[in-house]
Amino acid sequence: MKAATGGDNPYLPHEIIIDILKRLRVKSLLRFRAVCKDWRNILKSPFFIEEHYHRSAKKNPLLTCHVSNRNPIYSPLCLFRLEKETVEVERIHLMEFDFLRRVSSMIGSSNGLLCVELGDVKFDPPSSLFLLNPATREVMKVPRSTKDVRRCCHFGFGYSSVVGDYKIVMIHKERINSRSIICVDRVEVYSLRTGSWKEVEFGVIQGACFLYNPVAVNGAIFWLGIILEGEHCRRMIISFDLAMEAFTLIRIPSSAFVPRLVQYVLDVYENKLAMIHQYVNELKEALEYTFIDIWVLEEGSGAYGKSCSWSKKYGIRADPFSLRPICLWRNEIACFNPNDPDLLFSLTANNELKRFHQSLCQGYMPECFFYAESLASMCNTYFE
Amino acid sequence: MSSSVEAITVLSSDGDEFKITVSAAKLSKPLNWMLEDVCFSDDCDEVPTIEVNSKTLVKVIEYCEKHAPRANSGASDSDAEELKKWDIEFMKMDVKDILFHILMAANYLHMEGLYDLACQTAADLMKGMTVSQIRKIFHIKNDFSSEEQEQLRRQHPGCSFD
Repeated sequence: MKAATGGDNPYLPHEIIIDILKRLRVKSLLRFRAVCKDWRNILKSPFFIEEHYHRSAKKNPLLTCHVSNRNPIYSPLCLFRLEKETVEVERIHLMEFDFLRRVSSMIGSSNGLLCVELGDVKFDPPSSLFLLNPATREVMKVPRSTKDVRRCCHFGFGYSSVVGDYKIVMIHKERINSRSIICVDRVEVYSLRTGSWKEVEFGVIQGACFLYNPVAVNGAIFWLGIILEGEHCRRMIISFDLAMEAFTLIRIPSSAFVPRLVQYVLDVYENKLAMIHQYVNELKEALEYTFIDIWVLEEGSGAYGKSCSWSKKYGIRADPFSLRPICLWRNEIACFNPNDPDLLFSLTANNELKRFHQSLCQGYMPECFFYAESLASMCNTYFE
Repeated sequence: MSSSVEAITVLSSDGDEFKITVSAAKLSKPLNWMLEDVCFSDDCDEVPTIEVNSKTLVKVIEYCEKHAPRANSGASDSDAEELKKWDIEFMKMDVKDILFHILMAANYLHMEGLYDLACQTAADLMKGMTVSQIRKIFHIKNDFSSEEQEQLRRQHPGCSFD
């Protein structure tokens, strides 16, 4: 039978086969590993995995977040897809991952891998860290550091293409006896390639207070923090270069201090660190409005020892007044409105407000990261 | 280039003659070079050959003619919508039939739009296929030894070689 043998189909060259394969979802690609050795090797090559991820990030960008869990067959991890009218929410199925039910927080998302924490960090027994790829369903328990006491910890997770490695940063804090200040006591870094923890220098961040979740981009992790400078507390960006394993403090643009601050949110804009700055200002006749500015960290991008500067991408008036930015999504500002909890909003640079129906999160998305499906594996950390 | 030339004649790899308008030929760099050669050449009797079979070339030219007005002048959003629908209809072909030939032709003729469309069509068709169906259309032999298959199955439960 002609059709059954592929007929007079031409043999396709390698590059065309790759161009087709990179348009397929991970689910199909996992199946096609069994086609032949050549395909199996394509599908596990760092080059292909990277090409596939970039396409998936562009064509099918998702947000992942942690929500309270009621359904016993799902983990508290959700994937959000923005459609034209609604937000489609997919909850990560548990199946063999029963332990995921106990996910207490998300630490980060990078190249399709998620770093999550199980249990409660503040109490004994100490919680555990896991890396997982929800698309391939690969999962790995991160070994415990020998000095792991976890009284009070901040975490970060990111990828550095310079060293071809994923790293988890764990910042331990300890109350200093003589004073009632909680200080950074020890910083440990886990490398997925070496499979071990090690201590790193943390001098510049000793008195730092960490706010909100970190953001990882361009081989660095960024936190919004408060640093004691002389008598004054100052908001700063704390960056950790994953290749150099060193901290740097970055000043927030001085014009982002004026008027009354509502909040800062860190995220990524065109592959650079971005700061969403929301503030209140009086426009006319004593009427107050909230405004949102997007600042982007240019050159050096927070890498250790390099200079950097901020540029303002755009500023818009947030209307209604109560809109609160959550993150950047497809270069728009995703917001929630406590007065309208069934909707997600997105504000464009032209100040157009789009509304999306969703029912899951009641407007509030506490730990929210960019995510796109990928074949990235914990066994092979190289991701060009 | 003489403005009087509106279409050129090309030969397919099976030796059939095809006419393609100048504006449509502009969608492909190699076709465009051929066009310039034909227009500048004194010896107008020579008909250039394109290494694409007749059955495929018909489809490629059909695509070019349809996309040429938009590519050359830009078009409104409604036109873009209409063109998208047309592309979907145009791509309703069997992978066993000529889709792979279209892919090869689009690659050879440097036609980005058609190549992208054909790759996506192939990917969409492959989504639902079994491993053995994939092997058939790509002329691939299962080169895993039975031990290797066993090992892959152990590593990835549910992994099927058929």
